[in-house]
Amino acid sequence: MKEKAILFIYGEGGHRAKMQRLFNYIDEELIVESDVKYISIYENGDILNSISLGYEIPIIRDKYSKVKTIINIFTEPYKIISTLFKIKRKYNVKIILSTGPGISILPIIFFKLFNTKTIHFETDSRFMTKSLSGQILYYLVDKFYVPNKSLLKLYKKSEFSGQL
Amino acid sequence: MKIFVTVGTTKFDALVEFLDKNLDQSYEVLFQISDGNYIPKNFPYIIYSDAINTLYNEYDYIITHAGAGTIYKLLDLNKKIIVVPNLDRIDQHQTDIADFVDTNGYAISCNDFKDIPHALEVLPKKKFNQYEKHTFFKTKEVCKFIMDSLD
Repeated sequence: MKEKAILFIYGEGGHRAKMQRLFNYIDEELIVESDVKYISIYENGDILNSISLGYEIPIIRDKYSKVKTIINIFTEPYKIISTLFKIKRKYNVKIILSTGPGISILPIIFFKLFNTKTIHFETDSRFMTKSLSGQILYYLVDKFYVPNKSLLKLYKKSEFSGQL
Repeated sequence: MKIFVTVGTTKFDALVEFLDKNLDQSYEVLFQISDGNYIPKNFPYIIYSDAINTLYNEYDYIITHAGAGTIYKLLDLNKKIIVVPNLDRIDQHQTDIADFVDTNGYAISCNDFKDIPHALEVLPKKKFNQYEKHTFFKTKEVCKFIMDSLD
């Protein structure tokens, strides 16, 4: 019998910091059975200490080079999918919490195939424009929270949550 | 004038190089450069700091990249800040929040580095609006959703 798990997915820097704050909020409130595991997917060695059971996956989108991004699109998804199968074999992932950015897309698509529930918290840096990951994840997740009220106009079915 | 320059976790060499070469030598400046390739020659620098909030309080003015976490923290501390979107990145998402803080009078935003020296001159006397953060209030709802999904 596989262990139930809550999967936290976050990119580096501000996305990791945002997940840390989210974790702090819910950790105080959430009462789960001891057999439920907290696991995470992260990038670039930037793991949260609070969720030490983590799986690092490669970054596809290079911040500075379109060429590197295109190369990564062909070389990296295999490694990511392989990690996702590894997680799937070991855990029954019941829910995913994501603070993005693009790192969340493939895992959410993958686990949606197995009826995993999903929540995405959109980045705090957007007010009048959509992020690339937000544009995609909006149509994939069960709940889509926005930190700024102005984003409610762009994401009609989203919910305002305040800033993490 | 004590100025702290921070680029967060993503290098922003163009900004660091411009400021290193163009800031008045009489200023007391500290750079935080992350994994940047350009090393300041005229002012001291650090790669990163675990005590960044302490540093914020030690300096009069902060020149920062337009990262949301950094900006909100600085506004929370009532610091006078100049926000510079990192246009070295392929995604230009930092312009959104930079425009937001400038338009609403919370900070000065400089898309063009050449505007920074002038912004530093006006910063001491500039009056800013108080930023009111909408703190996260969906904890109970999120926890209920998690609990329901675990059943």
